[in-house]
Amino acid sequence: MTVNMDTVINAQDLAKRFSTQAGQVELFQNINLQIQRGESVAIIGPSGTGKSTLLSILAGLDHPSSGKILLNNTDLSELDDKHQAEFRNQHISFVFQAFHLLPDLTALENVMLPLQIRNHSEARQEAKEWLERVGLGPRIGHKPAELSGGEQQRVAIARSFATNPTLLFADEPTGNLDEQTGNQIIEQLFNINKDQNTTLILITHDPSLAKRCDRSLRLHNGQLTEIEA
Amino acid sequence: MTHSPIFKLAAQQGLSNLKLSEWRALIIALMLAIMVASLMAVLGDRIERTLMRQGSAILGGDLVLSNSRPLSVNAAELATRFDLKVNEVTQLATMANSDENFLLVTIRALSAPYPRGNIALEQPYALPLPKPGEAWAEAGVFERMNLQVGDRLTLGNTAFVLSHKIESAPDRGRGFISFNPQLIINANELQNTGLIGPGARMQYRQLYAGSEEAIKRLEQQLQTNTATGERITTLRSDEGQQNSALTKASSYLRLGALFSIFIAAMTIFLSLRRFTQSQNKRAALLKTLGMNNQQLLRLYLLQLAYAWCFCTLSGVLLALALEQGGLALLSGLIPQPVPEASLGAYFSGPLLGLAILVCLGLPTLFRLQRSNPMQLLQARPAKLTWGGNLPYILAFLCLLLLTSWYLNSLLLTLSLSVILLIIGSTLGVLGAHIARFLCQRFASIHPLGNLLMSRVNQQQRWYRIQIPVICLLFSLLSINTIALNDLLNRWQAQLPTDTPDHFLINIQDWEKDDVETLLEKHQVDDHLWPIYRGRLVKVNDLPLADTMTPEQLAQPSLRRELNLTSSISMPSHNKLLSGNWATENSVSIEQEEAEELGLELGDKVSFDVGGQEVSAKITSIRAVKWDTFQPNFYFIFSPDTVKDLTASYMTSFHLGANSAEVGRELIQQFPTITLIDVRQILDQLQQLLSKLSLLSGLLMLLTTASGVILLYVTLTQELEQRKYENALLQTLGASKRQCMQLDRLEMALVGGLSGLLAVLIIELSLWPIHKLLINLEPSLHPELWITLPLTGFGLFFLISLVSHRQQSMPQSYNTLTSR
Repeated sequence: MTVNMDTVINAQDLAKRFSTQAGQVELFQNINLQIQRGESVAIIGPSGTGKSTLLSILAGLDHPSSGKILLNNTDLSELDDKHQAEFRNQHISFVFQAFHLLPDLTALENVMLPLQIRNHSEARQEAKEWLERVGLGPRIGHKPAELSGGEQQRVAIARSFATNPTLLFADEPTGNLDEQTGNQIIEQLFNINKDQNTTLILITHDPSLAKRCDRSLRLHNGQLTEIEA
Repeated sequence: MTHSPIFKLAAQQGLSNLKLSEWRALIIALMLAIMVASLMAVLGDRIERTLMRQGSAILGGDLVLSNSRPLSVNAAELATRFDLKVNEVTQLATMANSDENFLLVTIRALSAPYPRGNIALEQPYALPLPKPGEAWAEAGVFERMNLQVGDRLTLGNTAFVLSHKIESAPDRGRGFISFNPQLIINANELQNTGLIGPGARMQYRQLYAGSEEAIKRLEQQLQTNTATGERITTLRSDEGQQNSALTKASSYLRLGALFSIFIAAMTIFLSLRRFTQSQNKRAALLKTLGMNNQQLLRLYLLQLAYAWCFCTLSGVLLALALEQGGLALLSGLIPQPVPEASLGAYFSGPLLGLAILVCLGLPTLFRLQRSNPMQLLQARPAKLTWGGNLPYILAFLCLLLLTSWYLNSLLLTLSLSVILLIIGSTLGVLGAHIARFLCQRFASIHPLGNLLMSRVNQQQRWYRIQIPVICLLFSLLSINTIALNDLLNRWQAQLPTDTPDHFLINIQDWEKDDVETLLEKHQVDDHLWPIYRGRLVKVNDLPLADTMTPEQLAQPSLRRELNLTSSISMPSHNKLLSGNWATENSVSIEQEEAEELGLELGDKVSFDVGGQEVSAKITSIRAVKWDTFQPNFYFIFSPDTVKDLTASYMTSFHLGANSAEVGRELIQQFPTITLIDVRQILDQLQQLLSKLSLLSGLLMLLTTASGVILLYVTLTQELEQRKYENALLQTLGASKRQCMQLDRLEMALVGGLSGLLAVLIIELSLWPIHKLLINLEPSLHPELWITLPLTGFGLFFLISLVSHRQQSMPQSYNTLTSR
């Protein structure tokens, strides 16, 4: 296993088990994965195989039942809550299927949120620039309900890149959009990702979308396997 | 589906709903509403029934003629001619004396048994009236003078044996006199007591009973022939007791209940709304299983009906327990025994609760019928739309009408509701704006300021409910406590130490010199004022009807006999405002009385004093301080104008520590005079106020409980949103600690702000209350400026602590991915 300084995710022997009334259920096991800076990686698989759980573990939001994971050479399990939060704020971003914008805040205020958590002094200016970059300059004062689904997801993309993250996790980012809008969003996501040299981990069940990534992995029967291009 | 499975399903669902916080909140709020409404209705009704004394058994007859002067014989003769039963009653207040004990009591001297209603005695007795030498007394006389049946007691010059204890009796009289413990004696004994003399304050009554027609004829005859000052009371007229302090207190408590019921109604509305939202998916599922709209509505109405039954049972039981406590508190202050409340009073609370449920529940449940089974097939359930406020506006109006039925006054309910609504919405908008303004300032100095700003922006609509509710709760609670306490405490504190604490009245001319000698012996500083009881009959030699407007003629001082006096010099505690103090053929008038009656300097006024006319010209107008405990008079004549009249005398003086000794000596030497211990009256007033304050405190406590539940509901309404928000903030890099701090900052802001606004309202309301009602110099209450904002914060903080906990990171992520 080659691990160099550009490895941003280094997962070793990851396993996730749940206790149920019927006994222990193993969602996945023996997962080893290295992802390099700037890479785009798709994780595909049928529903219920644990893709979202794997993503939450890779993003340091959840703990594996066994195994170890280093993000940017940092073992998050060794950090306390405050430092874990700081790490997430500086290095990790998310794009969700359901956009997750706060309904009573404007587009601009939604993008400002992670910058405010970081106590960024130029939060407003920075957020405004990002919204202009995703083509929503004239809509910055609008609330989510006044925006289309595609526009809402673009606000979410602007929010995710605003903190200049090392890692971007996208969980079915086009799941709530029609095909045409979904394609436009993916185009924009990949372009900005490339410009920012962000590492993209994309969860999808759409094979054509997976093909746009540098690598594709399939989670099936608790095993993660590389799909050859 | 047939009926019975729906009943069963509704019961099952009603029980399993107990796991839902909104269902629990609904039940508690409904129970509180029913409890408060029942308590106020039952307690209020019983107090009113006691005081109103409606019905012939309580009036003592079908028609009563009363006056402060002996009644003309004509009326009794007329009644006998009409075949009516007649009874004459003479009532007066005096000092009862037994060994070392003195008590201000009210005596009723009866000439015959009451034509309607019986005097109920503890030990049944064959005779309908006390025998000469016997007195029947109410329990209060025995208790307060520490006497037993068979003991002796002196009234004026005569000793009586207390032969029986009265359990209940009709015709207790009206006004403050009816609050004293009462004694009944035989009319033949009254003269012997020596208590009747010029200037004595008596009430004379004739009670008639018989056929309805005869009573009507008598009433018609009396109405055309009543002598001055005579008053006719029948079963239909409800004058007299209506304005008594306790009736007012009872209305005051009912108004307090209105606020509590409004809060509970709002809680029920919000809980129902949230409950319906949570039931949306279940309703959709039941539809896919074949339930139609009607069955669905019935299912949920049944659940509400079960909840109502439970709340009625528990609410009414709790109300009855509290009612017993309330009556026990008031036991010394209202005549016993207290009549049972009407059946309607017991039902009014549950009915009001049902009305709230139906008014607010129906529009909400109708929306549940619109739940669409399609949403079960979609990944994200469609939310119910809440557009269209018309059903709620209608529901609110219905609720207002129902509340006015409960409070028995449409105008009062409407005006009070509008005032509450205006103050509430103003406070809400103001509070939300101030919160935003404070946040903007805070954002520049605290790292979490911007996040707090976002939170405050999102929660605006909830602040508009939370801030006014807490603010009004705090305000009512504090104003109620402070005003009632201040009324007595500060008033007493600001009276000079030598303020007179005793009044001596009914001093007859032949006793005057000896009384003065006795008082001088004890170095008591006093001045004896002659008293003539008279009625104003002419102004400038013209009858009042020709010189006064109808409003002036309706003035209370024209409808009764006034205490008049004469003096060579102006009382030192009065102030001359205009004119000169003349010593011949003159009268001085009090300023407000002059204004009300439109009298001016130079006007000639004529009084009827015991059939003799006394006239004089107004030569001066005085200002009088009524709260000095000095004898005060509307009219003071120059001595020459009243020299032919017989007077009794009164005085007031300060006894202080000497009180018992001088009092004893006065009563023993002059048994027919009445010594009124002002401290005793003040004590009674203080007792009444402190008990009222306790009762209103209890009500406020129940209102606070409603308020806390409402706060809980409004906070949990947004619980999911808060959980979601914090989850999102955590994925964006906020720590759990930051989220917690954010929550606390928000609670501090909203709670503190509610407290501060409450302080503002309290100070603004107490100012006029002190200035105009209690006549005190208004002052600020700095302690409230600290305690109320802190309490507000504490309250919000505690409720938020109970209502939700911070989620762990994996839980947060699940919250996001599951939406």
